[in-house]
Amino acid sequence: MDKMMKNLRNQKILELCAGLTGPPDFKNSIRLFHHYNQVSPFPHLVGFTGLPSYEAYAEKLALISADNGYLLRILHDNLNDTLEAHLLHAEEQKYQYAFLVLDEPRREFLTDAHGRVKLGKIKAESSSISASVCSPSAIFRLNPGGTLEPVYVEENFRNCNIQVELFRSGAQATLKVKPLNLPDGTEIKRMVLVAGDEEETLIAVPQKDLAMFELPANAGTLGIYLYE
Amino acid sequence: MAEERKILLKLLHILNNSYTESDLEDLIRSLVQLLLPIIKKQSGLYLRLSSYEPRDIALLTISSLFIRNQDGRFPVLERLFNWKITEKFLSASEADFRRYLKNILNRRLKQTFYYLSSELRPERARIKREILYALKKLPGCRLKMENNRMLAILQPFPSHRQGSTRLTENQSARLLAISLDHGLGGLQIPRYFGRLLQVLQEKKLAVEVPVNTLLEVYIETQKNYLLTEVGQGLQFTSGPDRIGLNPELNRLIAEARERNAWLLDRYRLKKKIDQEEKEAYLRALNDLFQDWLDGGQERSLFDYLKKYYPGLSPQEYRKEKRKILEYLVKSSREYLRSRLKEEGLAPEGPHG
Repeated sequence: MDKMMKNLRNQKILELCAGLTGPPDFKNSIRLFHHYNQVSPFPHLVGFTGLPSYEAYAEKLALISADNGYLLRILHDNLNDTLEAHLLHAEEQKYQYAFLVLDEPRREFLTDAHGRVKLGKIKAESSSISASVCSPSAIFRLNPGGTLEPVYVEENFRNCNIQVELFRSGAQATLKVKPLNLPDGTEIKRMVLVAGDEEETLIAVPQKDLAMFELPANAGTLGIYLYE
Repeated sequence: MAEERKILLKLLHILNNSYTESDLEDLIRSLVQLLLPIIKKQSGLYLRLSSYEPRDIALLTISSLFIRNQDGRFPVLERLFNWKITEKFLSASEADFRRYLKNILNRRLKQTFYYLSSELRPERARIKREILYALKKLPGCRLKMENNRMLAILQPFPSHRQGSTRLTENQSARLLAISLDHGLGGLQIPRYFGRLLQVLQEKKLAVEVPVNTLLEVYIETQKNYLLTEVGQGLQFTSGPDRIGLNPELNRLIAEARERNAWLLDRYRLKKKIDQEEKEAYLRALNDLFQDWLDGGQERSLFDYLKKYYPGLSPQEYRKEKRKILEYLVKSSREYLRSRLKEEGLAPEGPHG
């Protein structure tokens, strides 16, 4: 019995390690598929018909969700020899601060307010890149006056709220965030805090449904994003 | 390779942004293993952790260090173990780094307890059982049933003694005040009641209250201890217990602090500074001592002083304050160095 408990406890450490070092299995992740025969909605960025050497960017790949809702365009930055991705969706809550998970190498990235994310150098053939995307299930805004308001919640999160506590110590402030009334069986895999106008984005792996963010100076309005 | 050295190398990989998943995994495991004994030692103080297991507290403490930013960096971790600190410890002794690491973990742990203070619920039934057990064992204490209530009688002297006062149920606030004033927070139940009896004897007081009242007084005393103790740990202003975990170092720093207060009093008598300025100097020096313990001076001396002297301009500092502060810093450094040598605490490495 003791051994079993010990294994269980070690499992928790392993889970934290895995959560911090690699992407979790997001419950509401959406698989993206290679999009062939695409017609670029942004011809000025392009390179469908060839890659002129003087172009700063060339499109390497486009991926699309089964319902055609998400479009992910992976571009090659010719100047830095790096990749960057642009996530597109009709609703801004879907492409802003969404997790993009690449399968090989298995890594997660967070898009910015424009749906853009720098992938850096990835040693993979474009044909072998596969990815999924996970948008926030709930978004809350904490105003400097202390008022908290939901900005967006998915249907199954309609009763969900968050409890926030601010702890100050001199110039340093820490925000404790705890989701309340989560749907049964839901686990929050990531919490993201966006401080001010995209000045700083902090990504937490919650433990016991809690995340504690040390806020940057002059944080202003805070966006709190929950991912299941 | 010693565990601390491994941790240091992993931290170096993180600072270089050249870490692998296994580096992170090893680092987290090492930190959790280091934290667990500290938590187990302290959990008694923190009123039993209720729904939180020691491992949960460890993971909560550690996870707050590993919050990433948009660039995949760990700002909190990198602030605590910045380049300067890590480089210094690479060539210092492992004991120094172990001390620093434990100091940091202890501070972070206290912060976690503080952040969880609204959720930690004391296990009343268990505490009450322990109180009953302690009261049965301690001389001067007894229990009696009255109107279906269990009363506790704490009487550290014979009942016929003249001039003694008996505190009853409606004077529980006074009992709590006695507990707080005499620093009974942070004590386990038997020691708490042992000390309480001593205090009652000194004050010629006896107590006759329901056991539940004693339970509340004990819990309130411990809660107050938790919040003030942690509050001191969090505030970067003052607090004699804040610096270091090593009692010898604490003692030497307390000596240096007293010496500085004495030197500043001399300035004050000569009307070169006033009482408020003296406090500002002392607090600035206190911060500097903390940074010395944590790896070295972090800012300019002007910045240390300006924190407690908000309106201080660089010109004013250069004209009036710099000489005093620099003298105090130099004198403190020399004093600490010589005292460390005398006590045989000076490290052997080049950073002694």
